[in-house]
Amino acid sequence: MTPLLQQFLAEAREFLQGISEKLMQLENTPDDGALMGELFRLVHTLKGNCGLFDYPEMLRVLHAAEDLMVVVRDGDLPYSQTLADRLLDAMDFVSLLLDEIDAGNDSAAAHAPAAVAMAAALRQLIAAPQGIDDTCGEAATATDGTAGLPLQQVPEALRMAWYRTGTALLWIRYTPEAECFFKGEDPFFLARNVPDIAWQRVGAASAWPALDDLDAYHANLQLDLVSSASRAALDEHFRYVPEQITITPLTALALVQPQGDENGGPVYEDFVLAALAHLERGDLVTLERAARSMLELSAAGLWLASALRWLLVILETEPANRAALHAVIVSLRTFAPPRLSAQPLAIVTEAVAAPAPATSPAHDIAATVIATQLMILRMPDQVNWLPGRLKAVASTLAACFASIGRSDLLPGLDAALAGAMAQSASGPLLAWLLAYAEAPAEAADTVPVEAPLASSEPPVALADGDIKFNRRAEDSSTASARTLRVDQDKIDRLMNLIGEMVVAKNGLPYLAGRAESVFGVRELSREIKTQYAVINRIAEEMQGAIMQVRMMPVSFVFQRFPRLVRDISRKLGKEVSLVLIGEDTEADKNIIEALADPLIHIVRNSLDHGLESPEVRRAAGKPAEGKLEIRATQEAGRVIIDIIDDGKGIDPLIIKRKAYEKGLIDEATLERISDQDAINLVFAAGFSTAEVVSDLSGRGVGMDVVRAAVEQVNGIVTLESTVGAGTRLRLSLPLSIAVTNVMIIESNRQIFGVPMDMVVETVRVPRTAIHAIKNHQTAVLRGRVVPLRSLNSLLATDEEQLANDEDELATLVVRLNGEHVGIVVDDFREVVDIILKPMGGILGGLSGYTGSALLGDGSVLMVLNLKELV
Amino acid sequence: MPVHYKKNLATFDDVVSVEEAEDLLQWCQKNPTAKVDLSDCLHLHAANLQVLMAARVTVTAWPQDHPLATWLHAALDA
Repeated sequence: MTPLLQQFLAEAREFLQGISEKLMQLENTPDDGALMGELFRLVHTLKGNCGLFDYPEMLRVLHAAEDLMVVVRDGDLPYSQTLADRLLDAMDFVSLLLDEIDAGNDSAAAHAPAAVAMAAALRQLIAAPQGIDDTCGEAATATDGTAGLPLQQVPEALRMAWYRTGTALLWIRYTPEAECFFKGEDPFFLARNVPDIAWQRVGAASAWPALDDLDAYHANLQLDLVSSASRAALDEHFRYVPEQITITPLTALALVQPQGDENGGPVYEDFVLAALAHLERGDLVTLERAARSMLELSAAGLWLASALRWLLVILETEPANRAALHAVIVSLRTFAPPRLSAQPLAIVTEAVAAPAPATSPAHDIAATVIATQLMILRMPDQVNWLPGRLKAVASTLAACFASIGRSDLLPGLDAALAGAMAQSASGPLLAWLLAYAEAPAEAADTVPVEAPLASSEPPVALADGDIKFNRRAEDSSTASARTLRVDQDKIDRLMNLIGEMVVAKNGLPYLAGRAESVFGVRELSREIKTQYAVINRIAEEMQGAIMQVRMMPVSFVFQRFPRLVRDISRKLGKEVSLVLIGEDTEADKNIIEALADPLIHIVRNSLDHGLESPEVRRAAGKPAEGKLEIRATQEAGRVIIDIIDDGKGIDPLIIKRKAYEKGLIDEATLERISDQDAINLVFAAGFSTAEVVSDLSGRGVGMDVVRAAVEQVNGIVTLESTVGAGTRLRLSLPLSIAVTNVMIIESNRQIFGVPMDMVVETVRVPRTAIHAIKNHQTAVLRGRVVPLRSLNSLLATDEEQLANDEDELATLVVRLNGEHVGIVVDDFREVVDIILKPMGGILGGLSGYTGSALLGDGSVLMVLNLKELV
Repeated sequence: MPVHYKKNLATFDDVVSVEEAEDLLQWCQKNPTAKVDLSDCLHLHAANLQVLMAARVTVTAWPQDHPLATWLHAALDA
């Protein structure tokens, strides 16, 4: 990956974030012109950047988005919810592409149809003229199906060969746009390189002008190809021009197109009647013989001969297909190509399963049938079989209307037929049919809107956004203009270096001590201490500065919430106003990143379980719109994040019952437990209030995982809830986890570290003040009973703890899960700043230790994990 | 020059690029009975192709390159 591409990816994510922020803001102030201009600029720049690279799918979607924004910015189209939805979907799509590019997999071509559909959906919103030239290309595909294809241009022998082999074939119609030569395209070259061409034809898109008026650089070509390549291969091949091609799978029976000289009109009624009779009896042998002898009698170039050849081919390959045989025989009467049901070639179904048929195949077929009948009616009337023809047309139409659910038209049809029969002319029936065809009938209305989508791959569901592209924006920050983009690894390296520096400088006091005690040079010792003070000051400042670099505003996590809340609340049918406070509160990057997933889960929980639906809220006398507040503040070296909703709160009774049912608490606890403790049970592993599991929460991380994730970074979660009034979840996190403040204690002639944030106090308890309750030793400290544990026994050594001269035991009072516990040790030492390294290898399995650190004198300090030990 | 003009016969050589289309068109406009010799042609840009199609030129020799010949028959035979 080139540096340029890396930069593009990072910037693109920032742009996407910016775009979705602006869209959110516009939802509140749709008339803000400045905001709109800003939004346009973002889309425009992103598109421009994208153009530097070879990502046609992304460019296509962004281009459409840009066009849309132009119309909106100019005030020709009002801002709307749909517009925001489509744009957000488009941006999610771009985000998905970015992720794939980032991951290094080159499957972008597979998204080409989705990109076309997405661009089409965006352009659909543009009512203004800009959209038309592009959308009409799409509209042209509306009348699709094999019906519109000039199959008769393919030589009959070739079509018969295809029919016999049953190869999966795709018809590609490639109409290069007029300006394509100026874009450096060579449509002919592109077409020549289509894989597995079975047949090709080059024609003019519109009639050639007189040579003097011809513009050589105005493309007017239409290339038709038949290929046996896979749909995916063709999509890949045409990935730069997907909107200029239509790909239609050829059905076997669509190939059955008799052609040739009509020889003055249908005069084979005898043969047709006989053939139909044979067919009805199932006497295919006689039918075949009759067809063969008829074929021998006719000139090869006749329409009749062609139809008979097809008849024989069908008899040979799929004699069971009565409908096809029937249609071919009947076509001898009408000279209309048989319209056969659109079943794909037998083998095609596997290979070309993906391209969905038109949304309303019945309507499409009906449209073709009606067009054919119109053609028949327009033929000269002066023939003596006119009544039969009229009746045939009328019965075809009647069947056709019945099959598309328009039986209401039948009386009109009957009347028109009667009129036509009376006058012995096609006129009345033709007039009636024309009136029907031109009326904006319901039968036709599905075509213009849905067909463009249907003609390509099954499109991304745009309207209701069933397929959502996961939005991720890890790499973006809200840093403003004067910033320097630095690789995170470099900062981490600096951080490690300063950590070692802090440890190394702690060696100086030891050196000073040795100078005095071992070598007896007091003066040198003092000078070393002076130097140490200077180095210490600089090192601390440096550490602070590097920490500053790693600081990030919580808005990094918060910025995704407006979108999240909007999407979820819409899905749940709830009205929620989100209030974000203190977005510029800063904390270490690791802390912020660790916060992201738990916060998202908490917010989902609040929306799903906490806030009620508008009706319930109104009934409870609350405003219909729920309020979700996320507030970040800094407090004494910690970041406090509150998630407050004014929903229904957590009912301790329900929680107790659930916890008891799940066996998380026993009966005695059930009776005794306080409401607050009951609420805290939601953090217990395996707890879930089953009736509230939905597709939003109750899946993935539970509250126990939230707590684990927060505790991982030395954070604390507290939950307060009032039934009916709402819930407040508070996350309290350290600003940084790089440097840990630990107290060194001594026990059994070894030293251990205990994190300072757990330590409540250090006291010396006289042995006489220790009482045994049951098997546990306890002492009364500041009016409360504190259980005492000896560290030696916790570490499973048999030594007694040492007391001092006054027979007092050194006791470290620590806070564990909200309770005070006294840890009896041998002696207290100093408090130091250390860089805590997690234990690796075999030692990593020892849960009794959080990690280790190097001390100034080069010794290793093991830091205890009292939560696990006690 | 990939295209050589001689009276009313144009000979296409190798690959005929998009730049030739304008000259080709002017030549076709001046020579209503234009003929082209494509035997040594390997590819011609679509712009040239559409000039040939619109001018309905007579092809005296088809390309030796078989796939190209198939394509050009498909375009110019009509």
